[in-house]
Amino acid sequence: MAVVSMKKICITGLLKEKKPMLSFLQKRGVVDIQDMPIDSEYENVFTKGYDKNSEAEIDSKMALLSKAISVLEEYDESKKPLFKVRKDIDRQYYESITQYNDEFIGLAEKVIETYNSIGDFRDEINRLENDILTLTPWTDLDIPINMSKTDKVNIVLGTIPEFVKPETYTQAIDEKGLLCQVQEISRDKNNAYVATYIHESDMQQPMHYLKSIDFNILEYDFSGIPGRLIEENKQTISRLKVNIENAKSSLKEYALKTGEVQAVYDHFAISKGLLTVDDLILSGKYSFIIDGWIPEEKVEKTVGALEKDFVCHVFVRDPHDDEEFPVLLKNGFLGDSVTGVTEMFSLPNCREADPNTVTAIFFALFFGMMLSDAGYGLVMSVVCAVILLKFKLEYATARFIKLMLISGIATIIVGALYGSWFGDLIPTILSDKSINVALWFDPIADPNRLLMWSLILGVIHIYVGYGMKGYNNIKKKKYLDAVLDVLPWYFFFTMACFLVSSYIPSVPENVYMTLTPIGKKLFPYSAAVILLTQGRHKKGIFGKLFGGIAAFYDLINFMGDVLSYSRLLAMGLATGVIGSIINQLGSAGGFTIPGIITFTLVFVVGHGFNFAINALGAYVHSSRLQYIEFFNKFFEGGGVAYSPLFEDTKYIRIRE
Amino acid sequence: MFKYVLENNLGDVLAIIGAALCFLLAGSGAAKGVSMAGKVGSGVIAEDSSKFVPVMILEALPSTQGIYGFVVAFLIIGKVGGLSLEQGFSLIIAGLPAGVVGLISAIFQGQVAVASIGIVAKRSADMVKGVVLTLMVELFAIFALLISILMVGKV
Repeated sequence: MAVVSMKKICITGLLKEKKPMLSFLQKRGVVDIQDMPIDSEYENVFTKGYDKNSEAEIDSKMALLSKAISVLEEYDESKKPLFKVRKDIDRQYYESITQYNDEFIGLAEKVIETYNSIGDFRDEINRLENDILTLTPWTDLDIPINMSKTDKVNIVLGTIPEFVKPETYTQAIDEKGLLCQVQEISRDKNNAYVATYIHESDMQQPMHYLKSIDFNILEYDFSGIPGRLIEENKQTISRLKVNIENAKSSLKEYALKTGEVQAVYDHFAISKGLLTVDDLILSGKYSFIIDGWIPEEKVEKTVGALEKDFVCHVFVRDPHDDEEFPVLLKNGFLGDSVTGVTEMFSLPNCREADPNTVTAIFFALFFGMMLSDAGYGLVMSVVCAVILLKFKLEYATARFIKLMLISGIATIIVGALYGSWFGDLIPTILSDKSINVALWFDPIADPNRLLMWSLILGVIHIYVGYGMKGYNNIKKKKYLDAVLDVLPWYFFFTMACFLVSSYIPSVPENVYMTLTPIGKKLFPYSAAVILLTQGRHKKGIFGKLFGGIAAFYDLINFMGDVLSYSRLLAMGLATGVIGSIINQLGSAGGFTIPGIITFTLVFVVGHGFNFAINALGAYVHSSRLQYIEFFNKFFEGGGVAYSPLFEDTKYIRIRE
Repeated sequence: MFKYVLENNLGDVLAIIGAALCFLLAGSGAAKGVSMAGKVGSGVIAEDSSKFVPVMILEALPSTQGIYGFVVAFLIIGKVGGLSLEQGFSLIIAGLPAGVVGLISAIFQGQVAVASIGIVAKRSADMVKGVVLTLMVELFAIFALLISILMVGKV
């Protein structure tokens, strides 16, 4: 539970050693390099910045590789792990790969080309298939489809609506004595496809007649006899399909090299990091200066190695009192688990205490109270424990699973106290509703009692928040504030709680009979203490007085905050009640074979749903109680994350 | 007929009406709130499918009012069986906070959820801030649930 203390480090080295030294620092990944401004008097001595062209070049290579990788991942047939992690590879192996960068870029180009060719082949197949579809009605036409005339006869292709009978038009043509013949080639459910042969001496009249029976001219830009064209197209399609298969199998073959291509991608990512860092450091004619932060515990080793390998001067000092340094948190299992939740609110700043361990305890407790079912907690804990033990995980995933593990354990404990194992499964199975498995009490039977405890926990949580504020003040050596910003509030709020204790349901009579008189007697004194202490930072006697009066408003905030913890009851009850309803529905079939089958189904689906919706609710509400009710009391936040120059890779992790 | 109902178990009928009312109001409010967020959310996912999880979380938030209505309705149903007239009336009234506040707060919460999905559309990382803003509305539904539970408990 701590913010790691940092030292300022200032390295001056020879320009010719800049690249190797930066690369060395990048491998170590411990120095958070800061932007170093150039003093105006040194403007012509030092320069900053890097070659944007090289950056663009690296970017275009990375874009190419990244596209190729996404294709290769699609065709990679090796088994994919459940959780995506970066692959560990040896530095030697990594370096042996990156010698062949150009080859792999060539490979990536080929991959993309092959992938695009598959798309082209598919487009071509689509086009050919469409052509076949268009030509199919004309399969039986045995002249080229684009032939529009012979010596004396014009040929017109078209459709006639299906309901016009062939006899009708043959007869009509005969009767009118038109020099024209209509040959039906095929018909579908709407149209008859016909070829009309019209003598060139008189086009007008036959066309006029044909129009009257809704003859619709069709023109095609194919050349050749339809039947043969279709045959040819089919052959081309099967050839293209073979091409696609070939392309796919070569992609699968390329996919064996996915790992190497990924390593090359990361090589460029690393070199980009190395290139862009030049924007922060000062380079002169012969030397360069790096300014940065380094965790205290890393100083000795890093400086030793630097001085051994390079000609350089290293200067290390403590941060000044008013100097902000980047924040790196170091926590045990508990504190580590909740950092993700805290970071979503803010990083603590470098001068305050890391609240994570305390937050983790309350987060898990509140999560447990809201999910409040030992069965769900058991499932959660077992799944999380298995994932943690069996799978390789990235840090962010691992800490989330850890959080879920401790939350799950808290859920088991709370569930056992409430006697809720998958709702009221135990009494339901034994078909005896009077069985009480609660180690403490069943909140459905006595919600008031849990309401009281929820509020009490809320008060404790808020008090811990004030305690953290005091601790931060001690850290900053503001001892007076540490006392006056905390103790008067404890006194004031406690008296207020005593005063209203009789209104809170389920408080035993003898308790509030003792507390209320104490509250009545001491509340005015506590109010006076607040009045006298809370305006002390204001100027002038009136400022101090009004500052004190304004502080009373915090009592209202406090009440609101405490009531907000009633969600611990509400969400907990919701889980329990819905769980019982599911069991009730499921057990309706009784102890028969169909009954057991329905029970299993309803149990799995119902409890699955109940778990999902309530776990989500518990997660967000538990976070909210930290953010609004707890952090508000002490957390200043606004820390800048420690981000050292390191090998920021996407696919691989390089091991020494 | 009326006399018969009056003399026998009108109380039970009233309690059933109370349970129905409570869930009808809260449930339809939750449905409205969720659907509002869902519609906007689908638009965001259409642009960027990687935002499914934050959008889903925000969309699910207004559904809790439905659950609260469900819980209170269930507790009221549990009371049914030989209730007197006053008890029946009391149960109708006891269900109203969870029902009415649930209805209204779910719709308002849906509106905040819609706005928060706007945050996610721009920056997924700020999802939590959206969640916190949305949860502010939820507090009142939680209070309503509590008041309802406490009242049902007293009948």
